[in-house]
Amino acid sequence: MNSNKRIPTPFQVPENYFEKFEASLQKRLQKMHLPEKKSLPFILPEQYFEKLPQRIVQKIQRKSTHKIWYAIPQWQWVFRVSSVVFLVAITILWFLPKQNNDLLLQLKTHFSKSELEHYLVNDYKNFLEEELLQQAQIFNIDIHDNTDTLQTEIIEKNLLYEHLEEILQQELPNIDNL
Amino acid sequence: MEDKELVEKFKNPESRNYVFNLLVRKYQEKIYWHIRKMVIDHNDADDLTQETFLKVWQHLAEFQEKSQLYTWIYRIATNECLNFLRRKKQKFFLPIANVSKELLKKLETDPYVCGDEIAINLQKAILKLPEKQRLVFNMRYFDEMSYEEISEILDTSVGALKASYHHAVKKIENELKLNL
Repeated sequence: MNSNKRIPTPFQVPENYFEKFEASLQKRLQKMHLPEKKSLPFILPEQYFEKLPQRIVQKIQRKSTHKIWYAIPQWQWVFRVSSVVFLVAITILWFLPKQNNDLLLQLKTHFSKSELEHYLVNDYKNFLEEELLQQAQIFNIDIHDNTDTLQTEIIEKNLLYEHLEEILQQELPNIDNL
Repeated sequence: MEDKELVEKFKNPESRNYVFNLLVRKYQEKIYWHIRKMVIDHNDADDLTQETFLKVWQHLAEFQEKSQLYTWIYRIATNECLNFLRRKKQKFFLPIANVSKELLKKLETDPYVCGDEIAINLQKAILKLPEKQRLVFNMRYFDEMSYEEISEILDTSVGALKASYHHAVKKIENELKLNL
């Protein structure tokens, strides 16, 4: 190839283009691979690593003052839970009888003593009559043809004293409570 | 002091504080830079480094020496980084790409980033990789760890790590070409 004989072209290159070409190519090739110098673009506050161990120890001390829940021994958990259960049970027991007392107090304030007695005696009388009639049926006493007074007399004659006691005993505790 | 001796002496309550101080001084720089490359921001890296050593303090007495001490510490630091990035995604409901964008932004705004253009461009390219590939690339390229050591830290096979590093290098080279 004869370099002296150049065919003229309309193209031009920037000044010193071929002189700088090799250097710019080298620069581009360097960037195409991972940089040889493994530097990081990060910087640190002054004396960072000198102070870091001290700061870590301080953090550990701070953390150890706040106990983490899962670090607490199991026996302590058992003690705490049983204390709570005990307190809850005591509270429930404390309030339960008080509620009954409240009910009794309400009854006493809203109804007079005579009203309550009247109600209880009537109710108990009805109950006794039913019981006596049942007993009469047990002892095959015919009470349909007799008058009311006669019915009662017949029942009372035939009803044994023990049965009457038994019926009364069943009902008496309820009366005592009230 | 050798790692084995450090672990033994740490179990003794009388020498615990002294030994722990030695251990922090021995590994603090490696751990800090490992974390910093993942989270970019100095304050985040500082916080996570402290958390890492706090966990070391809490669990070193139970360390069973099935692995080497420094790979165990690296593993804790790696988990701290991954959890931090996961929390970031959950907190702001961000997809991975947006977390990378945020980290790229930090690269430009963090006062603790110097103006080395080549190094910054390389970091920008690395930030475009998935998290695990970034970890593999950083440990292999910057920390010059063997694949066996990385395998112990990341609990991944050597073959998978080699493939991951190869892909990471290709992606970074392509990224650097685009930035020319």
